Amino acid sequence: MPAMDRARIPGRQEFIAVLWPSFVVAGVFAGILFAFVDPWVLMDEVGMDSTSRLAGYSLAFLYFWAAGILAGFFALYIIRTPDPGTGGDGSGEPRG
Amino acid sequence: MADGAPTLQQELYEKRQTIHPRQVTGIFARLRVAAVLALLGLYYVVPWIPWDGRQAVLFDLPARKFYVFGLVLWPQDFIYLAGLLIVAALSLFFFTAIAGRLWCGYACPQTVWTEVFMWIERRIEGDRNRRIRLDASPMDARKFRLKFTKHAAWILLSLWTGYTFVGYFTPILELGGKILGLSTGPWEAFWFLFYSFATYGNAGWMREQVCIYMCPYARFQSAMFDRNTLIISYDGKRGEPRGHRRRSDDPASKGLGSCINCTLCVQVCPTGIDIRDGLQYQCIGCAACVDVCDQVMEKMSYPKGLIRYTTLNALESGVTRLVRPRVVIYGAVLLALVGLLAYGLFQRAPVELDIIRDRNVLYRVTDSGLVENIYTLKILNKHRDAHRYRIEVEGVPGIQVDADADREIAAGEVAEVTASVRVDPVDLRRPSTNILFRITATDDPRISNDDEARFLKPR
Repeated sequence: MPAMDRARIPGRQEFIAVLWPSFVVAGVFAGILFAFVDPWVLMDEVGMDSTSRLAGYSLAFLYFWAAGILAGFFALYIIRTPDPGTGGDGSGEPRG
Repeated sequence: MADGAPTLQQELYEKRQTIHPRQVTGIFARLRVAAVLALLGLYYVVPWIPWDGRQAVLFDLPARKFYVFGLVLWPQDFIYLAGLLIVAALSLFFFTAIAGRLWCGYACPQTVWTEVFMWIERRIEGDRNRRIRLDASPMDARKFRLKFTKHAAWILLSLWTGYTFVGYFTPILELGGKILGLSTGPWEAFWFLFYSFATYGNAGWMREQVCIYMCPYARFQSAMFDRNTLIISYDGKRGEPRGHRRRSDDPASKGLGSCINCTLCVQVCPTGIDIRDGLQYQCIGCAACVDVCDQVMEKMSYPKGLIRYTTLNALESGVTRLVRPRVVIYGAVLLALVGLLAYGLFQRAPVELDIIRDRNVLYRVTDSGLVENIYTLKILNKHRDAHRYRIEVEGVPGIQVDADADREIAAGEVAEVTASVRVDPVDLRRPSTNILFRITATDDPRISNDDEARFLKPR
């Protein structure tokens, strides 16, 4: 795969490299959170219908996962040190 | 996308030659089948075991109770789950230090499910050579039928796997009815499909790519390795120079080693490596190459073990040290943790007590001249039966307690009980005295717990 392609859009392996670890971490963090907090309490707090605890667990898990994904892509973006003399947008294109 | 041979396809990670492992027979293959049957058997059967009129193993998230046979765990018992995970991680370290990637080769869910998926594939599409030909042939009715049957079988198994998974968290029998009637809740449906899809994707499509690219353990397992760790290795001293020969040839006179270069060890490898190139991180330690090479050695009437479980030290000097600091330390920490965990679980109080002082009124002096403090007792009955609790207080002579605890507290219920404690001020020397609350089940003195509180008096 040419380096320039890699720099512009995340490849499929980068997607998985972000999705998968954040999935694991989200699972761990949801587990720890709900060991101490009843999802009903949490859902009440944010003004949601606390009809199903399963919904609470799942939403919190997805929330953590989303946070991990976001941080992962942020890191991916930032880790691409821009070459001197380029636009600094990681695209490898000359400035201007 | 496919710009080379028809079997070359753009995969998730890189241009990947689809690996069609040849079927292996032999002792380690039998061991793996035994492990697969045992582990998957457990996985699929355990949720169906009844116990005391409920599911024996049920992580009842909606009710926030974990049932493990006779044991009921509450969210407050999270520490045991954390402890269990640490023990699991340490066991992995311990076994890796001694015997290499046993986990990968025999027990990892990725290996176990892939093994079953490959078995289905083999039953439908045939062994390695037929599969390679099938993949290379253009799509026609026969190929479509075979591929369709394979994926249908994979998907059915995946759905059953997803159903079983959710069945650990909500009663499996009810769940079955709900799935058949398409009346599951949205989240049950989500997790059911999610896990099914993950199984299908990981065991059907991703396979060795999971081990090579996604698995964190595969990346750091080498940190647990040393020169005395059991690995699968090709005995280069004996095998080289490799080369073809007839069975009747004497390899020594032709200047050849024991390796006949049949490449079977490469053909059986699920991660597609050549073990003769030395230890590689892609090697999951499945020993398929050991099995197949032993068969070849037998046919050639050479001694077995050209590829074998061995250690770097054994290969070089013939001596392997089992007991070494790394093993002793992992082992000692592991034993200590297991002991602690077992002790904790055994000593686990079936009832929890939390004392909260009334924040509004520090103390009150009654008409009869006694000092009164008010407390709220939070009693969590973690026992599986309902109980009535007797409340006692000690710490000061003549201390009296009055609590409205005259009712049954259901299993899993958190009851708030107000208790007023009265003491004659002549018995109190300091403005603040520690007192001890103890609750005991009226029908079973072993179910008991205590907690400290402070008793305040006027200065």
